[in-house]
Amino acid sequence: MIAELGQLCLCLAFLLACLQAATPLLHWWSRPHNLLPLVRPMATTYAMLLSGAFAALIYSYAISDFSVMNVVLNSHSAKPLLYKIVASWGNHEGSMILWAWILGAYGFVMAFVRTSERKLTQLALAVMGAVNAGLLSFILLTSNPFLRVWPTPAEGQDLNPLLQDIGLAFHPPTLYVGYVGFAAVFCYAVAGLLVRRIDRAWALAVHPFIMVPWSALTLGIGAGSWWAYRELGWGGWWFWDPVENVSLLPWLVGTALLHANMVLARRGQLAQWVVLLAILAFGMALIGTFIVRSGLITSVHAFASDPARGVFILAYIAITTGGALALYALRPLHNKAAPPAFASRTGLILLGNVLLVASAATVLLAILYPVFSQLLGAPEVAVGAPYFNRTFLPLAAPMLVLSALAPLLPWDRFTPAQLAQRLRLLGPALLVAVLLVGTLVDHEHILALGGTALCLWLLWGSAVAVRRAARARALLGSWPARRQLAGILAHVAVAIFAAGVTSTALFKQTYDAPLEEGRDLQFGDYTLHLKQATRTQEHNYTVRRATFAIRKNGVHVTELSPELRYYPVRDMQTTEAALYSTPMRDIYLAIGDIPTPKESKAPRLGVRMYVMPGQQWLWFAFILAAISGMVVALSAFFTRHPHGARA
Amino acid sequence: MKTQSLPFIAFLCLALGMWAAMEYRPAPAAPQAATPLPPLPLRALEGDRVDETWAPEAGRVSIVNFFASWCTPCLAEHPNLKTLSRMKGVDLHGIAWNDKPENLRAYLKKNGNPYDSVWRDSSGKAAIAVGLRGVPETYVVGRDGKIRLHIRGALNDTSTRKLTALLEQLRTEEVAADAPLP
Repeated sequence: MIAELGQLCLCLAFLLACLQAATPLLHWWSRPHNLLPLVRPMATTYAMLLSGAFAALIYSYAISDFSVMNVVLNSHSAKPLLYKIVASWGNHEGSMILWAWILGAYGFVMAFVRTSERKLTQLALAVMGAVNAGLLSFILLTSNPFLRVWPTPAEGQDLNPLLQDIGLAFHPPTLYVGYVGFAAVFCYAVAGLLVRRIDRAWALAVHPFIMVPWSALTLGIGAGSWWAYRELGWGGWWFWDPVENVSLLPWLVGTALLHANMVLARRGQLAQWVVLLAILAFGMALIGTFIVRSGLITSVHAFASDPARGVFILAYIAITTGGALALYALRPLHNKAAPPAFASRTGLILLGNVLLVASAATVLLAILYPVFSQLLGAPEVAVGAPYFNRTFLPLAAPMLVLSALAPLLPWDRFTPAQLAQRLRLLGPALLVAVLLVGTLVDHEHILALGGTALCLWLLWGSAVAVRRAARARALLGSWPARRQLAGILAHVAVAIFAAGVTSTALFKQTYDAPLEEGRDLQFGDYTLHLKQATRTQEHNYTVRRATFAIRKNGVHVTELSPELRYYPVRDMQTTEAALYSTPMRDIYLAIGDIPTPKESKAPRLGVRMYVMPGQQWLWFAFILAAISGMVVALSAFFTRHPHGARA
Repeated sequence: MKTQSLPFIAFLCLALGMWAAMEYRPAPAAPQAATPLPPLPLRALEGDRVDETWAPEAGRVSIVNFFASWCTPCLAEHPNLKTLSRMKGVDLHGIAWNDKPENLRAYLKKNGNPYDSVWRDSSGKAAIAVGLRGVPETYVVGRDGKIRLHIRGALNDTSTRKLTALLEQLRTEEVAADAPLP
């Protein structure tokens, strides 16, 4: 019954979304009656209906209703309640409902928030109706989670043990709030193109809808990375896996978009470019969905691989993104703003934009290259870290240079003297970096030198920016001031992130050794003493656990117990690495089977230890960036109608 | 050409490329081709025999068919299974998924029993072990215990002909010869 209610909610929501999309046509047809305001109640009702459907699905999981096929395939009555609920979005169908629900929530917010741009919002909501209708037809026709199975199986088929982790509770929802959120600004962009008006008022109205998804996406990518770090036992946090790369696409374009939109909101310039980015950000999120769900690539995120679904999503992308880009080509804007001067903050932001979009293109190329080369009959290739080190780093480095410099320069054209003065302000940072790194590490580490220099440059630049801002007005005193501070803090997060990347990539130490009882292991400065090795039988897996006492230069550091779990039902082994984290370094310990010499009979256990300096900085940077983004979003909500916005 | 149409044209090329990649992608090397059928925890339909690591008899060519008495597509493929059961030197094993013994007996009595042996996957673990998506699913297992063909969904006349040809080939070939998949 509950599942049927969910299904009913979906069907009603689909009809409502079609009606919402058709409202502008009905409005035009029934002139002089004004039907356009009707989209608001439609959007709110749509959000309610989707909430009903999502609640029905979660309920079916919570009570383990095995008459629902989706529950049978992805849950088990013996699972803890939290993981049952989490399992409802740990599969293709359920995650699409989560996706649609978040989209509905954005529509709700768009309808709810009062804005001076009433007509524009109404039109954007109508576009949102079309986006919703397409998504729901995809769900109803190819991925319906409410299908029944008869007769009812007695038990479900469990969930991938890798997914029985708290990471699943955070990673997909935050990631989707990001992915899906770019739909809102996409709808505003299409609406703006329809009325041929993208100006400062438009930019102010959409800015919160750029910042919220951006922050959520930042957090979601960070959560996914944290999950992989803890759960996969590979001792790394980023693997240039195609699905990771896919999440990077909308993030890079979104970052470009938020900066360009700042220019539009303040100076009225770059309207055409902002609109293009707004379309592309959502387009990238959709292309990501297509790549993950169509089975076009193989990856650790082996999701539903079904070509029929792939065709549907591709058609959906063609209609939404393709349609919007066609509109973009056919309806140029009448923007009278002068093009930005290169020697201005706007010019530098535009340069940064170009770098961001170029890096997105690099990533997209890396994702699609193996697919296309295979299509042309070339042997299978994988694009990995060496490619990104050569293409991505050269693009990222100038971005760091720009992000320290741009906030210090005037929006208008700056003079060489002004530039020289700012560079003098930043000079000490460079000097300190060179001296510090030059004395600390040997000269082979040219990359470390470069990385540290860039971080210090950006940190110093941010400090200078804070000091200048504090001189101009009280920090935290007003929303615009908080917004400015948050913007600088986001750049600080980038600097910390770059520091973390540099130190984990270049100073990571890896040690391997076979495990032998009664013999201490010497890993660099660390001594590992095996205290205990056990093998126990848990509910649905067997655990091998080794407990080590770790000393550094003779001083006790900590005790760690990594595990190796074997799930016989799925014939699947998972690594539960043990972690000891301090602000300066992580000690990451894992055990696993190692190749056995032929003469010995029993399979041997090996120990692997990573010492990762600066690992915690990365997580801190993700969180700091997301919080800064949210502060900017809040500030943008509260300052949507400053004086002169319509000038 | 106006520069504003460039994004649209680029997008069009990308979309066409992705469509082509999906449509004309070389079929991925069937992952099951080289893998042996995993040992299956099963319960015999008749008698109390429980086998935690059931596998088709080594050195014989076998068909392993997952089915259920409640499943309509299984009923549809039943005549094809009967055809296959008439082949000499090939064992046909039926594994009932999520089913009750009394329903199974009634089903096999009513429609005829083409199977050389009938097993029950009462715990659902065998289904998880092979990664069953639904019933029916059919595996052809070679003399070496390796999966040579995997068909999801009901067997129709075309797939049955293909299966028969493969079985003929497997029956005549040497043990452990790693023949390429058809």
